[in-house]
Amino acid sequence: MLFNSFAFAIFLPVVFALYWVIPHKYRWMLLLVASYYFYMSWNVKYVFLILLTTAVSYFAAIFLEKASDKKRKRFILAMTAIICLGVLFFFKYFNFVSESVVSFLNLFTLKLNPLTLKLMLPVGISFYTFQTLSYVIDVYKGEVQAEHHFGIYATFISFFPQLVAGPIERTTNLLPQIKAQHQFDYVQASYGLKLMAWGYFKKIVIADTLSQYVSKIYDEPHQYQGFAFVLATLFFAIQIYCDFSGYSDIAIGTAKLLGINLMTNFKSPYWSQSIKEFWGRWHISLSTWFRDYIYIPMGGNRVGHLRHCFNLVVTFLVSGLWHGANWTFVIWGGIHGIAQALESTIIPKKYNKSTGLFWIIRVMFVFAFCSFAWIFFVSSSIGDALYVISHMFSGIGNISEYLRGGFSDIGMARLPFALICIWIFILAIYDLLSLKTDVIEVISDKKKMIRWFVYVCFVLIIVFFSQKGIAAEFVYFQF
Amino acid sequence: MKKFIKNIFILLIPIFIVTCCINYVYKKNSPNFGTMGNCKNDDAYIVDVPDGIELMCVGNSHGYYGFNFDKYKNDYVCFNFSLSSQSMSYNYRVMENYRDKIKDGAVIFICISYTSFFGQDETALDNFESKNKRYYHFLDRKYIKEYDLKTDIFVRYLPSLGVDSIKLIDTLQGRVENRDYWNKQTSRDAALKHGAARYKSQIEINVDSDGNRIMNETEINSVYDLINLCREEGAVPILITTPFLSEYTNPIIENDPEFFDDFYEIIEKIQNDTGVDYYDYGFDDRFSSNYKLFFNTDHLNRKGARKFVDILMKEIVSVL
Repeated sequence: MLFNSFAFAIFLPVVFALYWVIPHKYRWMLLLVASYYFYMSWNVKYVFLILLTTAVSYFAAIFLEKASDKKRKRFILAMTAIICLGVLFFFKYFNFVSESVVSFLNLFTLKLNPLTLKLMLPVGISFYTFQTLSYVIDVYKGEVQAEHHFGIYATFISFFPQLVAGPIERTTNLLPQIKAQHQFDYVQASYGLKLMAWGYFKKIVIADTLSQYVSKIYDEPHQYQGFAFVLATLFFAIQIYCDFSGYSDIAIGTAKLLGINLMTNFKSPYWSQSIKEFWGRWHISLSTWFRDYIYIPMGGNRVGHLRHCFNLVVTFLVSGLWHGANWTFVIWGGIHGIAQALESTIIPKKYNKSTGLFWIIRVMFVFAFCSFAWIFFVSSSIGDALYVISHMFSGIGNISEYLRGGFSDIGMARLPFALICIWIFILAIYDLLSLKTDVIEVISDKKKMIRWFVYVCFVLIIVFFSQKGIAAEFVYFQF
Repeated sequence: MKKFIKNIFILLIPIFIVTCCINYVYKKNSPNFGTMGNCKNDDAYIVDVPDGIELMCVGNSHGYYGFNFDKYKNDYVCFNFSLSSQSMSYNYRVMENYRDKIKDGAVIFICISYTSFFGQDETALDNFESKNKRYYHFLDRKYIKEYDLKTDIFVRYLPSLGVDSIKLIDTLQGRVENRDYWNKQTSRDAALKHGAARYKSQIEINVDSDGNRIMNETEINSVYDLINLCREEGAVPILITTPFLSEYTNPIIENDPEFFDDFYEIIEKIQNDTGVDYYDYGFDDRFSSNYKLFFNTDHLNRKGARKFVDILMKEIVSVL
């Protein structure tokens, strides 16, 4: 069930109404049933996987709490990680590893056929596996107590707003909120609804519009060259941001309707002035997960400079692999890791923050760098990515023909271009203002006439300018 | 809670009013979507079907553009049920829906394209959902594939919410895409490019990963169903392939020599099983190199369609 589907438009009001009507003690049951129903709407069979991961981590945490010696605790943690990551590996990485190993052996003239399985990747498996692992690791470290109520724990793992594409919640934030007795809060619910509207705008008005043009070029890149690649790459940079942050906003907004606050997942990432800052603003729940469970245990930045750079690169390579079972994702992660390592080497700390023109230049540079890295993310193969990079400036000698050819190849007429420019401008302004203030709150504090006018106009834009009749799955569902 | 729900309703009222207004203007400005109307072919649907049809055609865009009955409207009750990309199985569903309109003894041209029997089921294709919407306008729900109530409501009552924003703006401003390419003619250069592209998009695509051609049994069986339906209604079914430019057929012969053998084998079987007549104008010299009669390699223009129907009337209908 997609957030942008008719089914969800029925599902959410029903859950919302029931949630606030029934007594507190039954609410976790409603959320659990609703979450499993939500998940089963993709594929009923895969519910057993989430049940398995939930059960294993639930019992592991209880055993961890009871275990007295460290050796035993380590064993339980290792077994839990093997089972949870094993499921993830089997469904997501088995074919990739098999093909990669065979390709490697073929280099030594060993002719083998890779063993591949025809498996569909269960939606959201990377997200809930990581949430589960963070819970078990936290229990192992003694930072949180094991949850003894299986139903409440299962609700924590499967909470439907963030189940399939995050934010990857931490135990300390979400679990207590599921247990807590909530009173309906008008301000919180109304904020949630407004955040959802903003998320829908980003997803179905901007991301889905841009996706048509991006797909056209990147599905068959060898048919194109020149400015079309530049346009498609810039469009993808905006599409992926709007798609994923749009999902996060809808998820956070939905949770707010139920009185639950999820963690912020995006904070205007394209207004960052360094790659490090970008990763502090992009997919924050995942970045902090990697920081807390990979980067810091490796030593983080409390080690020598070279070791610090190594830690950064390794963390980002793993992050790339988390995103997809393809070398293109690994390279994408590697590029970001190396860039951060270089950044920490070249730019002195006192220049971490700039103002004025220098700030604008740095923001533009970071956006250009991120867009370049996205080429590996969006391309189906390394070959395709290299082809795009090597052909994106072909014919630039004749600049007017270069630009005209790009628009012609991508198939974008004047009116759609003008419209998308308006939507991106609104997005850019919103994000820029968000650096200093909460835009939704600012609008909510305006005079009644003004704010209601804004609400009505905004909903009408979503209704009439959303993309219709195209596949509108969220990009991050595949991870 | 009460305040929250009340405010949601207050928000919905102006949105509902504006939506209704836009929808009203959109419907008012929308063209008459009948076949052969002035509209983009993907949007066309069937309206104003007369009673007692004596001469008709059913098929895909080859039939849609290839049959121009204008000249014979005074002598016969004519109708063209063809629509762009209309599958054989939908041809049958359309005929089922309108079977009461067929006059005893009518002549029904069932347009068969060379690609009609190959490829995966249309419901598995990406564009199925958008293409399927047109049938909500004129078919009974039992004949609509994968019918759903939500689409029905949007297509019939809130069409402005179901269209692309650019098209919505154009329609609200009274700019309606004109199907003027039916009045255009192609050239040799354009035909060469078009034919090569058509081979890729229509022939090459319909093979599986092992290189075997994908036979579509549903579509083949629908021809049998159509023939039976015609005969049950006392009409004469005639299978017909409309003319093509050689720039369309040559790439197929060069790249996939067995393609036409596979196609004619199916036609032969249908003929043997049913005794139906089949006429193939796909290689007809009167058309195959005459660019003035086509607007691309596989679609006749207005002039070509008039000439084609003249030939059919002379060579087939008059001798029945």
